[in-house]
Amino acid sequence: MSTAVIGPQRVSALRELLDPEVAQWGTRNRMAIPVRLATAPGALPPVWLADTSYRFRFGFKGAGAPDWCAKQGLPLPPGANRFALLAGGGLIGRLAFTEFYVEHESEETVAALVRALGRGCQTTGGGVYPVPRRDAGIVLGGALAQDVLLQTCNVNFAALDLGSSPLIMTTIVGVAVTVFPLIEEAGTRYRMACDPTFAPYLWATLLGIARESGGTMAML
Amino acid sequence: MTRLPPQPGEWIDRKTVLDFRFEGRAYQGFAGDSISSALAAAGVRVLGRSFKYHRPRGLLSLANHDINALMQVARDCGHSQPNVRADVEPLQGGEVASAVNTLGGLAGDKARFLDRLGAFLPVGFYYKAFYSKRWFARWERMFRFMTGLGHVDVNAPRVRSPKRYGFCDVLVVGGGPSGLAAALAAAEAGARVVLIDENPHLGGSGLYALGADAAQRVQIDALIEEARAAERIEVMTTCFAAGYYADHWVPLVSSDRIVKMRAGAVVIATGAYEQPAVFRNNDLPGVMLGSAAQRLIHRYAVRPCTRAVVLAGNDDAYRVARDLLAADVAVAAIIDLRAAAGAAAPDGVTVRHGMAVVEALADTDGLLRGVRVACLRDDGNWDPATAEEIACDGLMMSVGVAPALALAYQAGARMRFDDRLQQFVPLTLPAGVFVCGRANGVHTLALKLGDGGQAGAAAAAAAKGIAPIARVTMIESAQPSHPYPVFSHSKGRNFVDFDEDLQLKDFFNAAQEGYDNIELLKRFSTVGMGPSQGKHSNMNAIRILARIRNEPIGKVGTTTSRPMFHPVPLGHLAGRAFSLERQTPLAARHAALDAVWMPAGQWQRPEYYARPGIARAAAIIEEVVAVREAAGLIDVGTLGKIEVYGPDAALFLERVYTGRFANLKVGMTRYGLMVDESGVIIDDGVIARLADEHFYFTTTTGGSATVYRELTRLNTMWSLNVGIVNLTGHLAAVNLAGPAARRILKQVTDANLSDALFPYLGAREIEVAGIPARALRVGFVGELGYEFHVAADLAASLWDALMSAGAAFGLRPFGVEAQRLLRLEKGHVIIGQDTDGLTTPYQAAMQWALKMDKPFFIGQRSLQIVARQPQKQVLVGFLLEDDAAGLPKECHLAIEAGAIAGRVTSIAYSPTCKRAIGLGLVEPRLAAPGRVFTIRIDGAREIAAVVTALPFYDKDGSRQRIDDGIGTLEAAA
Repeated sequence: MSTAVIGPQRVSALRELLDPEVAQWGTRNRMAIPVRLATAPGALPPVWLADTSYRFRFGFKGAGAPDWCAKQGLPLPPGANRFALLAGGGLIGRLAFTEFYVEHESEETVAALVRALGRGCQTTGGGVYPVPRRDAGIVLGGALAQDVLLQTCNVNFAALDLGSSPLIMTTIVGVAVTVFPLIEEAGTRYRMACDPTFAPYLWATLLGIARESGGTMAML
Repeated sequence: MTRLPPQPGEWIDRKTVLDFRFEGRAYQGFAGDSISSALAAAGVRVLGRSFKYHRPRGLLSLANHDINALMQVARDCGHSQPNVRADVEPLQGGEVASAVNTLGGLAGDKARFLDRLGAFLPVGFYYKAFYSKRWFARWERMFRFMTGLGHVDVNAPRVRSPKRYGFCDVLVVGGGPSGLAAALAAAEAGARVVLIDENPHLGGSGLYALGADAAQRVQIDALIEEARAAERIEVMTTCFAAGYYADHWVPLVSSDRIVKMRAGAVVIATGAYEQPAVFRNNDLPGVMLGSAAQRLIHRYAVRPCTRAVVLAGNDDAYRVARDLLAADVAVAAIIDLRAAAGAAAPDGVTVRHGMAVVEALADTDGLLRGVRVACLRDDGNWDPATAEEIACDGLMMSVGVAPALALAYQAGARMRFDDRLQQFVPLTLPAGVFVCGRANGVHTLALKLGDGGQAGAAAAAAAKGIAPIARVTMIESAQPSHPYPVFSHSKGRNFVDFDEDLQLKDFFNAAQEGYDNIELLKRFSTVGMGPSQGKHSNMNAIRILARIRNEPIGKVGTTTSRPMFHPVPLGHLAGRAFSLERQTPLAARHAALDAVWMPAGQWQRPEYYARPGIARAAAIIEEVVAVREAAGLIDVGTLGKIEVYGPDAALFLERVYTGRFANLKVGMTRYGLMVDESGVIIDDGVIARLADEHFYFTTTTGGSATVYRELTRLNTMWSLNVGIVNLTGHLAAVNLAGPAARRILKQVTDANLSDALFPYLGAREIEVAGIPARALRVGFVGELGYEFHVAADLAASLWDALMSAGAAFGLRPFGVEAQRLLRLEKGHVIIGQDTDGLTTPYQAAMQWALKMDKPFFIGQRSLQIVARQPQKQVLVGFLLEDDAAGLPKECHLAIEAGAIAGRVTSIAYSPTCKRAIGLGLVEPRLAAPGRVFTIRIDGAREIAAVVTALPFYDKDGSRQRIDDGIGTLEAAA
């Protein structure tokens, strides 16, 4: 499948759920994104969720995937279930020893990888095959973010060594989710990627739980 | 009973007075009271009726196990909750409570006559009643009427009970002295500790089993302060551990939620249940455990009675007597089962050694007015000649305990019976599980603190994975339990199990009938099967059985301990009821078109699109007609979508599908059928070859995850050079079908659509409305059709473009029901609907999809065997002879000569055929075209169906291959 850098309008899997919360829409990466919420919180909410489906995603896997990854100049996370940040607002996650996930702000960055891999190739390490991805992106943040996770996921996020950039493949409210905990000034944010067909259910459930603690939707 | 002056450490808040009603009368209590304690303070001694004989019952343990104080409680919301444990339920004010097991109220219970019919209700009569088929229905009605506790209020609102995961290094279950010591020691060792207690306050027996010892209170209070202040200790009160599951996973149940706690190590400091003595009328209101009296006094400041007799089997009884005296209760006597006491008698109290209470005496209201005591002979029986009466309105029993070892049992601990202690204690414990305090056979306060400290330190070490810490065995000098506080009486009514109204004689009768194994005895007699799950009966039952069998208790053993430890509300177990739901990226488009939704596994799909003033059936027919005469667009994004890359991709597909794919040309598709090792159909789909080493294929809606898992598993075994990718959620798919499909598509693509360049069953990667799409020319609904697979986030744009382009051609969206009807007309099967878990391709008349001459495919060898055997059923098409006779439903049976000969798998009225048509699995003898068979429909009516060759529609397939000339000239050029 070819990838056009300039192309038709993309639609987030969460678009309809966000609609009642949004006063004004803008466009980012060919996707409608909220630029003003209907009810702007006066202070930083204790827990919040944001839709980051506008980012571009791609994956590749196969025995030769680590070789190919290095050849593309991508940083190679040192082990499975680890990730590394990419210049320009992206990250690369190593979902298994031979499977990788790339998420980036720039369509061109991702499109270049798609073009480079085509229908796959053989390396000295073995075959590498593309994994077209259209994950929904959800970011969970705020002081009570962990509380929401404790109600929805059986992983002890508090025990993670965030300095080692772990990624967690788990289920949250029953949905298979890959979680990238990111240490930021305002605290830890949990960047999630999931199958977009589960995303409305995941979003609605998480937001419902977050709201019990004064949480809201947010913009990123 | 009356309220005492303020007691040190009492749980009640006397400033907050709460009103409530019980059995129609108004009462008051304080915040901090339980319903039972508030009633006790108000002088109410009868709290409920027993299960079988409907005898009046009062307080027994006040320890969360008072089965006879279960209540139906309504609060301000008006909705009532059954089986509220009144001895633990906090009084909130506004309750309207009533006893659960009465016919007409507690005082005037019409079923109380059952107490006189005991002779007709022997042990096991439930089972014996059902021996006779003739009486079965009557007994069933009677049991259903008489049994069951409380009433479920079906209109009660759904209360969300959020679950939560929790994590800690050391979980300490029980906040009594040993639990406190364990928590402090574990925290001191650097562990993160969660300390839970089922009561609203920590302290356990350390703050009620005082024996008027103020220093003990000070000591325990100091420990509580220390635990509360400890940074590493999280305290959870009014919270119990419902069970123990693998790897130290313990559900902690609070009033509003379950916390699923995963601990590094678990300390079980759950104490012990005080056990009743067994003697005639030991259930009269006024007879209670010594610890219940102490709880009343120290927690709720309630005087248990005015004149008490204490039945002693251990030294705890003497502490009970001291607490009673301090609460201004006259202690008429201590009746000590032992020949000599270990503890000193309180001043002024008469102690009668070597005697037993053999009968409790009732006044005209059925309440305790006195006890009959008698001397014990050397054989343990009592001597009638020595019997005498002592007047009292309270009898406190302190004869022994049973360790609360349920969690340890569930964790896999092995126990031994300690003859000196007369209790079970852990023999071996699983790694990371520790037991301390009374549950460990340690009863003296100082020893409990030491034992708890050791357990806590050892648990912290285990949680951190450092070398195990050896524990010093505490040598307990106290003998907390009497070996046999059980006394027979010619008139019976000496209860062993208060839940089930089991008397001593019932055990002897059960054993006489052969049920003399502890597990069999439990099932036959139902001992320990009531709501308190034997917490006050199992130990005595074991003692009695050991006596009957003349064997040591350790040899008799115990019954299995299973979760839940206390009753857990079903709402808690359900939690928020997370229920996975999937939507295709086009859900909003369907909603805007008034789709009526239907579940399809986890998916929500449009069943049909509602139209004003048009009924469901007519709307579906309209959609069918649109597809047949113009064009329709359906969301098929729920199909599984998988691709296989690599040099071995074709070989891989040859192995997993029954058909041949090595010779599939690039740019073409082929139907694929998948069977399991036994040759049973499990999935199907369309396989497209996009490049030499690149295949893309669909699976059934329900099959995507399982097929992907299975393919991954197979390739792990085969180690072929392929990459398997599941794109199901990442790609959307729509199907444009109908004679106008090509003309519509032409509006939005520059691709050549001529029949020559994009033939039937072709696969192309093209752009549609500027959107990169995989286009498959398929014909599931039997018309010219294109299936487009695009990136999920571009699906809405594709849908909009096609709908817009098709408007002038009469394009209509169509739903699942129309699709099912369209494919039925074409005779296409739906795997899982027209097949079942036993259907082979031969039975489904799909031999054409098998390439048995291939070297290998999954299920091939089984199919070779199946092919040689006569088929039991065959899938056929049929027409109804008379549509007006009624339409069968799917799964209605085919009947031949009065026997079942098959079933309907698909059925519908076809607007195209103007007949009711269907598919069915029938016996081969019925499968010949023209054969008539009978279908039994609702109302036991039978209608005739005639077997018809498939398909019903477009038998030569020309509709799927329509060549309307579009693109032909360009193609030729």
